[in-house]
Amino acid sequence: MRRPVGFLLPATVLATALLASSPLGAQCDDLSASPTDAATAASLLGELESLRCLGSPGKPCLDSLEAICAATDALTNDDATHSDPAAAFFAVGEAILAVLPPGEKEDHLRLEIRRSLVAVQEEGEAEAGPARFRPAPGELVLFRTETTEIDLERLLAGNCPAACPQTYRRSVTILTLSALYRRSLAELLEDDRERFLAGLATLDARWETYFTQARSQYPWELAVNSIRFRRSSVLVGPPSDQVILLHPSLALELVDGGDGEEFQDAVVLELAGYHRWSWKGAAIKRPLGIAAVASWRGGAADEVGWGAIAHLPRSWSLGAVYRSADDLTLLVSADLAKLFTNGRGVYERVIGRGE
Amino acid sequence: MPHLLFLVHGMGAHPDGWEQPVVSKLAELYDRYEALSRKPIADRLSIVPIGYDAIFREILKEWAEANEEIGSKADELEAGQVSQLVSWLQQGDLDDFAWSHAADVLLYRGFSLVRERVKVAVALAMARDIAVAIEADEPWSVLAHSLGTAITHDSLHALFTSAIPSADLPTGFAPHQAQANVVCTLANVSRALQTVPPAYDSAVKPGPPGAGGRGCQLFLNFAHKLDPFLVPEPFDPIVWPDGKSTDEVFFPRIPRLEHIHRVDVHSWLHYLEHPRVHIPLFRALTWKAAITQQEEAEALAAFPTIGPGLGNRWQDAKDRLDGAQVAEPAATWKSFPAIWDALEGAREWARGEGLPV
Repeated sequence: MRRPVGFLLPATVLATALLASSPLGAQCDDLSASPTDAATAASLLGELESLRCLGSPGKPCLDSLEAICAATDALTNDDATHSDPAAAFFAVGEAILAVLPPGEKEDHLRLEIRRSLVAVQEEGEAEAGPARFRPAPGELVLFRTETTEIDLERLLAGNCPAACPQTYRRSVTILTLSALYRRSLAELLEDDRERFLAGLATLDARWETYFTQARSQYPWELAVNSIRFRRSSVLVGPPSDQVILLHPSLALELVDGGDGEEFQDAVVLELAGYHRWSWKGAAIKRPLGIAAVASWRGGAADEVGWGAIAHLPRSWSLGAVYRSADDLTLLVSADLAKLFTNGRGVYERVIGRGE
Repeated sequence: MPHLLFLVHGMGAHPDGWEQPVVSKLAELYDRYEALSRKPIADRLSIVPIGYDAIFREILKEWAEANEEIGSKADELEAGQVSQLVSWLQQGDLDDFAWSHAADVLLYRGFSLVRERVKVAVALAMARDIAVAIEADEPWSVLAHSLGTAITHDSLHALFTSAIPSADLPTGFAPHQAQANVVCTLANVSRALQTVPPAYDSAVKPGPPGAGGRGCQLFLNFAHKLDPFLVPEPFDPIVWPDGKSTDEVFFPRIPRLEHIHRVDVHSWLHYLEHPRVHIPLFRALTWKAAITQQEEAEALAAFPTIGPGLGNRWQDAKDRLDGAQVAEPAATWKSFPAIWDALEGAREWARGEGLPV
């Protein structure tokens, strides 16, 4: 006998409506819900996964998985110390395998976990691949396109409404155990990540130093030095030298002013030169450079002076230029771009001494 | 902590707070969908802006100041050759919109020293947050626009493939260790700006979870038919790089967008507003059923190809945008300044006509 349609509808529709119309949306407590149709079950499970309710730190856990959730929390807790973290990881892995129920989909997860445990054991922690145990974005699919693919939406569709609550809980279990194993694997790599981040932070600080404390570069110098710098597909630090080319800057020439020696403003063009240093952490150490220069002092000395300048530590530069009118004069230069940004104080001190 | 979503901006000046219009637009679009809106967007997505613009601005500012200081002193001391040398730096007026956009591209693509500096800064900013997300077992994704697509590509590839500096040690950030969930690119110019490795060969390509050399599980790429920046060497990986990567489940083939709701079809917001863009993005960042088929159909039906603000002027707008396609498909990144000028011409026209820009 056909049952009246109106009799069938309320159970499914009511459950769907109750779950879908919650003003707060899904909550992590919904792990133990009993959806009665595939669409509701898949949507609820999808939202729970997106909210990281399934096996994530500090989230509720199915009663049947309490022990393994607690063991994973203990492994991944920042405050916890393990005398042998690898052994603790393998213990959690084996515990997950032990609680994984029988079933075809569960066998797929079991196989993936076993492969992963063997890879870590034989190849080392670098082979730990937590990303493999993350579902496809927005989907209820693990190991997508692999022979071990687990499509939980399809599983729900095939088992609802007849065995919907059971299949829902089975899906929660698979996703939770996958997440717990993922977290355990990620924990193995924590030291690697921290070490890498520290190295990367040093590279970043060196680049900051290169562009703010090394000698400034004009576009044409940046182009030449970029050509000299290797193109790299990985993350690298800055070079430890620069070619100087047609680099204008302000300088001071020490000249005989009648009442004694005095500094006079000059514009210097470094025709070509080379500057090198070494890195200590993010700091520039032992900078040294030399360049051929032309210098303009204006006024009575309208003749261009020719000479050389040496770049020394502490942003000091010292050189000499020759003019037929006044033979050799001393040249004191500070890098122009720095003078008028963060090096102004240096320039003013030089001027002050000249006066 | 919710799903970590990086926003990476494109060309031009992006001072602090640049992400606000994008975040607001995402929140506005998010709230349109019933299941999503039951929780605030901040409960589901942790949106983190990634800026690199300050690096470009600092370099340009330094040059501008050098020009000003040296130029005046060189004039005073009659150092004609020096005056001449620095005078062309005056072209780089920081307030000039087209120059500032062109300069970003030129600095990034033309100067490897700048490029490497940007890559390290962006990779570090991302890696720090990714490490925190991994600790909390949260997935992470990227939404990048324009020049930001190339910078995301280069920085992520470098992050995925680098070793500990000065040592050959694992990093914890290889694709099988820290794979992104979704890489979503709007107006992808990474092929036009590619250096090493070529865009299609990089570790950012999508693929199965945790597979070696597959930086993300899902790659969403959105292009607009009238976006002039997508003419030179468009990012369209038909054979990229093997069957797995071009499998629809990892790299859905999305037809080019055709809507015109603003004259600046290249902008973030113009891309995001289209339901064909934000619906698959939200579904991938949350869960598939978060937006129902019915909601999707209604959103598409309510989104005409021609935006209401344009009225009967859409053909004029389209003509202007056709006119902005000044580059040939075989052109390179060097055509970007000219493209920007042409697009800015269309924008100016729209502003003058009171049309949405």
